[in-house]
Amino acid sequence: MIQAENLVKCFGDFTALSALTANIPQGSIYGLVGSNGSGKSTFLRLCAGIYMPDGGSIRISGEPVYENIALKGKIFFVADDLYFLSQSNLEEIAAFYRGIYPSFSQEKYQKLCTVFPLDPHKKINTFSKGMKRQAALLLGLACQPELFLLDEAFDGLDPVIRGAVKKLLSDEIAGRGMTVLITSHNLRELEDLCDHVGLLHQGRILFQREIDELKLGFCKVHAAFPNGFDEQILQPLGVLQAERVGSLLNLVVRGTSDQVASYLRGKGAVFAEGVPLTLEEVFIHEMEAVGYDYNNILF
Amino acid sequence: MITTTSSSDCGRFWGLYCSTLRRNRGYFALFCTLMILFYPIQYLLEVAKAPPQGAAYLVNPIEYYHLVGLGKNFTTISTFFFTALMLVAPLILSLLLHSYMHSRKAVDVYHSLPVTRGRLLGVNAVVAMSMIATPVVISNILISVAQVVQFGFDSQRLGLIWLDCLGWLICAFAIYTVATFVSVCVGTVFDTFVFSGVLLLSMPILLGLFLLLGDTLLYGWVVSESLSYTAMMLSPVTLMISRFAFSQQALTEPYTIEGRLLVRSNLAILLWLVVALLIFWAAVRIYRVRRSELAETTTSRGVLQVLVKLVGVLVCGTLVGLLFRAINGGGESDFFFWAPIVGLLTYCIIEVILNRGFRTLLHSLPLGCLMVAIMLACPVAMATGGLGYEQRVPALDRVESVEISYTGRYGEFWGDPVQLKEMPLVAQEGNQKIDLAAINRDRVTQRFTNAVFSQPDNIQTILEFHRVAVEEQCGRLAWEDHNDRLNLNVQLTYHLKNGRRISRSYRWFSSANALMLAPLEVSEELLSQRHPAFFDQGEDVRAWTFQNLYGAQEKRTFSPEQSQEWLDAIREDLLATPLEELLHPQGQLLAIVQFEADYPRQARDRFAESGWFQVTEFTPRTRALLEKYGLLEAMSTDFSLCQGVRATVNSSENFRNGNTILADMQPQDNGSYGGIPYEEVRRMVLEDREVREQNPQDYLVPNAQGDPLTTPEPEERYWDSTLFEDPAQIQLLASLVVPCWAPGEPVAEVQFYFPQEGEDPRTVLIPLERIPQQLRAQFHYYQLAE
Repeated sequence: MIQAENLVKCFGDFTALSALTANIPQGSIYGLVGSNGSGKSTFLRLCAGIYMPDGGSIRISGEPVYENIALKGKIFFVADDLYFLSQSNLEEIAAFYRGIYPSFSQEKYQKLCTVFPLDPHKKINTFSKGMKRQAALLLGLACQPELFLLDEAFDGLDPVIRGAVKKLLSDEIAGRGMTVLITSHNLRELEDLCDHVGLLHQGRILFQREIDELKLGFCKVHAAFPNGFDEQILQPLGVLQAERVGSLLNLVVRGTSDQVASYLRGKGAVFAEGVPLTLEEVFIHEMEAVGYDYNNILF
Repeated sequence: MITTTSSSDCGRFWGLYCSTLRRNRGYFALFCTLMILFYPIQYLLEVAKAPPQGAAYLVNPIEYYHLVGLGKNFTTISTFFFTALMLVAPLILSLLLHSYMHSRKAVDVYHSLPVTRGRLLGVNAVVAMSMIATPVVISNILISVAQVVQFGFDSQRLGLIWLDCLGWLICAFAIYTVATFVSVCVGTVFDTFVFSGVLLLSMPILLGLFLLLGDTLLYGWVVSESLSYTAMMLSPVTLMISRFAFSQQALTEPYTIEGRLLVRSNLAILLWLVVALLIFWAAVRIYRVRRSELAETTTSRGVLQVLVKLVGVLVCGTLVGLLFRAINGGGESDFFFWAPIVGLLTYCIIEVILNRGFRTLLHSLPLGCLMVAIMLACPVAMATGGLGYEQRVPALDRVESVEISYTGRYGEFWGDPVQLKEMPLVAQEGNQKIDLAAINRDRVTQRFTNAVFSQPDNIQTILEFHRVAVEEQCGRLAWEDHNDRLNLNVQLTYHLKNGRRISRSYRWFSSANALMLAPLEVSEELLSQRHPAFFDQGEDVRAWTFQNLYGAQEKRTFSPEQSQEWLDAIREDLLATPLEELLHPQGQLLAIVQFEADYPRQARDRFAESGWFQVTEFTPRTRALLEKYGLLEAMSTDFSLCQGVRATVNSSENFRNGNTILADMQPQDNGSYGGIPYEEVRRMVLEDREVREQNPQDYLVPNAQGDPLTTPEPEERYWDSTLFEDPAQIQLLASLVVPCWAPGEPVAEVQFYFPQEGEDPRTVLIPLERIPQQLRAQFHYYQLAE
């Protein structure tokens, strides 16, 4: 769906994206994470055709996006800092999009109006931050884009609406094969939603994986050794992190939790149990694995 | 089931158009209200007024209403408000509609829409022009209908209303496109406003400054009407404003300067349409590759910023330089001291404002210095002679003719001669009195303010006069360096044989230089253009008045044949008078003849409403007529009745009237002691002397007598009034009075007092050199203490 090759974008002397290469498959929910100023929003704006690349290329479905009207009709971008047409209400903006987006569905718009608790006749500039975010998502979904670009999409949404949005996005992906590219600082947020994640750092994608693949490579195990243990027993496990508190041992290791727990019980542990890793922990360890200092990179 | 709406290109354009228009409906309503209120309603209120008495008899009753513009579709109020609306609306709309480009949040939405950037600009332009054009067109329809109903169908006037309407809309579009172009080039609304203003106004302002500089620094510089209009045509802001200045003559006489300028103005409108379209095309091209991230960034670099700084330096430096020059009166040195300082200061201020800080100031100072040098280039060239401009006088063999504002001694009495066009008079109905003269004044097609010379000897006279004028440059001398100078408004235009023109204008001349124009006073070429006896006819003349210098006046009415006889005699005497008789006349003034004429009913190449002539002993034809009609005796004066004469010394300059070098006695000159009897004058003069003698501390010389021609001329000496009461002396002085005299020579101002009540004694002219030495020695003077 999205192919970026050696993509470069500069703002004066500052290089926001430097030779970024990424491949985002169609029908996926791709979570893009990274520190502040890493280039997440810039990448999204390049995908939306707002910015013109300074180098490299970005193609969507094999076509360049900048000033490509046919292609832009299939893309909807929700920015982190929202803007609505001045002095307009939801109805008027919907009418505006209806005239512009070929795939805008009035039926879906009306249906979504029942999902989101918004007054379509009230001026949008009177809405709260979260309500404005809901309005933007509502309009985006009504436009039925093939590529939905969301920058900090859940910022300001309450947990109920957040859940509803996730559900709606999942339905769209399942129903129409929509692709979602979403950026966030909140990895836990993306964990439940995304099937792919990419880490952007200093204008480059450090790595991108499927979430399942990412999580399967690591495990976290708690084990208890009341009589102590010889640290040599940990050698075969490929330990990424070990923490000992009295007789309790907490490990992050490569492999599956069942295998590691069984191994530790065989070495005298009275209790050994695998615990699922959060995406944040996976990222931290993955980053450390490729030689980056966790403290300098993430969050 | 999912239903989708289809969006064709046309539909998308229309959708965007409607949406944009809907969002700006508030501004649209406001603009419509203001336009209707200040344009058609003002017009309707004006034409609804009751017509003045006599307007029904006029061929063109619309002339009696206070309506402005070629199509007579504006009132004074609507001229101001319509202009303001039409100039401000496109700028504001452009700033409003393109403000999204200058907001990062908005640009995310607009630039992610499936609409090309070119189409976005196109839709905005169509919306803006719809908002401007709709109320303007409706207003013009209302005015056209009202005009037809009230004044009848006039295709030319209606055509002009709609031509002006088109012109205003094109200018509004041009203003809009310039602001649009700037919008796509810069990142903030403030920068758009400032840069648009500079681009729109820089050309007329710079050309205006150039004209002002020339007028100030270049000796002989002529600010031509044509160039001033051209300056106005260089901007869509000023183009249509300049059209308010065109009179109806521009329409009827397309070959006059005004007519040609109107044609040029019409072409300028077309040209601005082309320019506006080109600017819009360029804006679209730039917008397609415009970096969205430009939004909210200041314009710290680029051609536009350099241009704004340059214009700022040129305008502020030059204007303040000229201002200090005018205030301090120090001449060119003041200008060249202050202009670079203020120019550089302006550069620094603009640099700091545009870059929002002092960060770049030091680094960019060399550019500022370069701009100051550019600003000084033109004034330096002008102050050093304008690259030969000041000294340029064409050779005689290159000159076809010369047009000169010098109109001679008969040139400026009761207005200039006029040319009349053919126009049927309206019949007078009933007993209503109609001002036929006012009606006939409408028939004027040209006012002859200048005289044209094509005879080589006259051209040679003017060329020699011009050469001395540029050599002496009297206008540049301080007053104390040249108190002999003479104020004469001379504008020269040489029409060269190669079709080109050279124009110069001068105001101050030495007396000797001015005297070089004297031969023109007796040339048939000048007289035939300026003296009404050469073009008015006996049948035109309504009344004759004969007066002498001592209060006698006789009014006469002659038949057309008799009037023609007088005109013929005046003409012959004028042509027969030698130059020396004007500069140092020997003949005594017998009478001043005046006549008043009615406007002729037929077309006439030249006509004047009045004329006058001095009858002396050396004008035999008119003298004979005075005798024939028994007027000679009526004009004679019995000086034995004169109670006394008051005389003082002054310059003959006081007797110059109008644009002539000669000091002369014209009709209807009032005395300075109007209505005061001689006894009172005598008492005042003697009292003044007494007061001075009682306060000798204030005077070096409180009262003395001396010959003005031989007494040295110290500082602070003033000639006092001298009274002559001896009948022999009075008789002698009366015989010395002259009708005219050469410029720059000392004369006595003399008043003869007779016992008539309420009469104003005229101040008459006696050259000092004519007064015998024993009388001159009686002139009183006093000298102030230093």
